[in-house]
Amino acid sequence: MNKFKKCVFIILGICFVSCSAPSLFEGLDLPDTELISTYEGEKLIDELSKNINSKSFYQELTQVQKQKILSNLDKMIFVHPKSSEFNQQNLIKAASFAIEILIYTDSLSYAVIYDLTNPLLVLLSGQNISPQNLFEVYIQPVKEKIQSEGQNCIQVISDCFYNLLQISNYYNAASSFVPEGFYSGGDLQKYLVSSFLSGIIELIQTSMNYGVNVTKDISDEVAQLILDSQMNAESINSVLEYLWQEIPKRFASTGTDFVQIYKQQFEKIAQNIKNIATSAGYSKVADLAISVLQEWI
Amino acid sequence: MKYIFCVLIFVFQSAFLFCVDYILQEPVFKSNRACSMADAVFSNPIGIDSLLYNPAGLSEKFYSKNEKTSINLALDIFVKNSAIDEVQKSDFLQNAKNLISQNGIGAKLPILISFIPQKNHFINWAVGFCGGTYLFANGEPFPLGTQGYLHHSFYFPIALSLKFLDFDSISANFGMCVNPKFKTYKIFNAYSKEKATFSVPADLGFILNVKNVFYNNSDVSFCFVTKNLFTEDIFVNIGVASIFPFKIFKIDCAAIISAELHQINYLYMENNVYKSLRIGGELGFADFVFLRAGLKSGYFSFGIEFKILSCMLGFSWQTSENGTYIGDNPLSVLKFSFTIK
Repeated sequence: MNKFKKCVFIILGICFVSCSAPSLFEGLDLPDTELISTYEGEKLIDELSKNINSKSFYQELTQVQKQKILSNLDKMIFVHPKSSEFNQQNLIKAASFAIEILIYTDSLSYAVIYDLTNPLLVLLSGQNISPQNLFEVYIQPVKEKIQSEGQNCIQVISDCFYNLLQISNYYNAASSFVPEGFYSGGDLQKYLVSSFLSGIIELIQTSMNYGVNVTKDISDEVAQLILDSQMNAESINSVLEYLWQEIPKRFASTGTDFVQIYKQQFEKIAQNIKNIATSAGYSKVADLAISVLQEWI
Repeated sequence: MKYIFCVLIFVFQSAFLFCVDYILQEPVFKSNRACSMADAVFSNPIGIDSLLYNPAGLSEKFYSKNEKTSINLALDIFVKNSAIDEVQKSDFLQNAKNLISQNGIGAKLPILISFIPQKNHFINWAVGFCGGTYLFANGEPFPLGTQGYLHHSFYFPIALSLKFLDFDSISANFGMCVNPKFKTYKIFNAYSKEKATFSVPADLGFILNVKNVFYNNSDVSFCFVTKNLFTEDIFVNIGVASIFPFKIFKIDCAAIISAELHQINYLYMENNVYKSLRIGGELGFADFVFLRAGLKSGYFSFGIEFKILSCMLGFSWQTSENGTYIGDNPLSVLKFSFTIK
C-alpha cells in the first residue's frame, strides 16, 4: 500500500510540475527579427502583421533592428504621398505598428500608458481635473522608477518622453485617414495619455524655438528637470508649475503669443481625439476629454 | 442489416476563458481523450471523436466496444499561467486590470448532440448538432481597450466513412464530413458591433491500417486529414498511431502511441515544425481505466478516465500555444467530464 501511495504522489507531483512547465521547445521557435528589419514597404507591413502581437518578437528585437524598422515605417508614414487609398491604408497600418513597437519595447512607456489605475481613482474621487494633478498621476510610474533607481534612470525617462512624443506624432499623422472601426478604445487611451504628456514637451520645444530634430534634447531636459525635483524631494507639481511659468516667459521674450499657440495646440489635440474616438466609437468619451481641454484653455 | 443506433451526447460546459483568440479558434466541443492526448487523435479516433477529428475513423475498427448512446457532461476551466502569477500581487485594482486586459475572462456553454449509426463493416455515417455560447471580455489593457464579446456557434456535421480496402494485413478507410457552421458574434464596445457568418466547410480523412505489425493484433495506422475545406482556415494533418494490446494478470490492456504533425500546410509560412508536433499516449486497463498523456507544441498534457458500468468519469489538463511563436501565449484547460453510455 505504501508503494501505491508513493506512486500516486509521484504521479501527482509530475502532473503539478508539468501543469506550469514551459514548452520543451521554447527557444526553438523564434522570429527572425534581423530579416524583418531589412524589409520595406508592403513586405514589412505583412511581416509585422504576423509578428506585432508576439511576445517573442519584442524580446528578440534589438535596439538597432527596432530603429531600422521604425525608420522604414516612417518612410511610409511621413515621406510617401498619401493620395491613393492603398498608401493611406499602409500609412495607418504602419503608424499602428510603430506605436505598438514603441510601447512594447519600453516598459516605462507601457506603464505610463496602461497603468491608469491612479488616474481612474482621481476621476472617481470627484477631484477637479487640472493639468497639474493629471500630470502628477500620469507620471506616477516615472516617480516609482526614480525612487527605485535614482539618478541612473535619466536616460530611461528621457526615452519614455520621447516615445510618448513619437506615439502622439504617429496618431497625428494617421488619425485623419482612419476609417470607422479601425481604431479601438485602446487607441483613444494611448492618444489621450501620450498627447497630454508630449504636449507639454512640444510646448517647451516651441517656446524654446527649437528645430524639428532636437526634440530628443527637450525630452532629455524635461527628464532632468523631473529627476532633479524628485531627487530634491520636491513635488512633481512644482516641475509643472515651473514649466507653466517658464514657458510663457520664454514666449514673451520672443514676442510670440503664448495663449494663441497654447490654444492651437489643444485644438489640434481635440481634433485628433475626435477623429480617433469617432473611429473607435467612443464619441462620449471624446466629448468629455474635449470639454476638459476647453476648460483648460 | 442493422439499424441505426443513436448516440446522444449532451454536453454542458462552462468555463472561464482567458483569451479571445483561443475561444474563437477552439472547436465548440473537444473530447476528454483529445484534450489529454495533446490532440493527437486524428490517426486513432474512437467513436464520436471521428465526427470531430477524422471522419475515416467511423469505420468499425475504431469504435469502442460499447459506444452506442451516451450523455456527456463536462466542466472546463481555462487558466493562463501568467494570470495566476498576477493574482499573487496585492493590489486588487492592479490584478483586475491585468487579468482583464492581458488575458480576458468569460464563460463557455457548448452543447453537442450526435447520431452515429450502428457499426457496419464497410459504410458508416453520422450526423450531429453542436452549439455553443461564449460570453467573455478581452481586448487591450484597461480601461478603454477592454471589450466584451458574445459569441454563438452552431455546427451541423454530417459524416460518411467507407472502408474501400480490406485485406488480411491492410485496410484503408476514407471519410468525409460536411460541417455547416453558423456563427454570430457581438462586440460590446462603443459600437456594439454584430456580425453573423455562415459557411459550409468540409473535412476529408483517410486512415491506412496495417495489422499485426509487431506482433499479433498490434496495428499501425497512418492518417491524412484535410479540415475546413472551402474556407480560409483550411489545414492538413498527418500522423501515425500504433496500438499494442497486452495482458496483465489475464486482463486485457492496450497501449496507444501516436505522433502527428498538425497544420502542415502552414509549416513554411508561419508555423515551425515544433509547433505542429503532437505526441499522445494512452494506456487502457480492462476497458476500465485509461491513463493518457501527450505533448502539444512541447507543452505537457495528461488525463485519466474511469469507466464504471456505463459511466465514464475523467479529467484532463492540456496546454496550447495560442501565440505566433512557442512561449508567446500558452493557455491551459482543466477539463472534468462525466459520460453515461
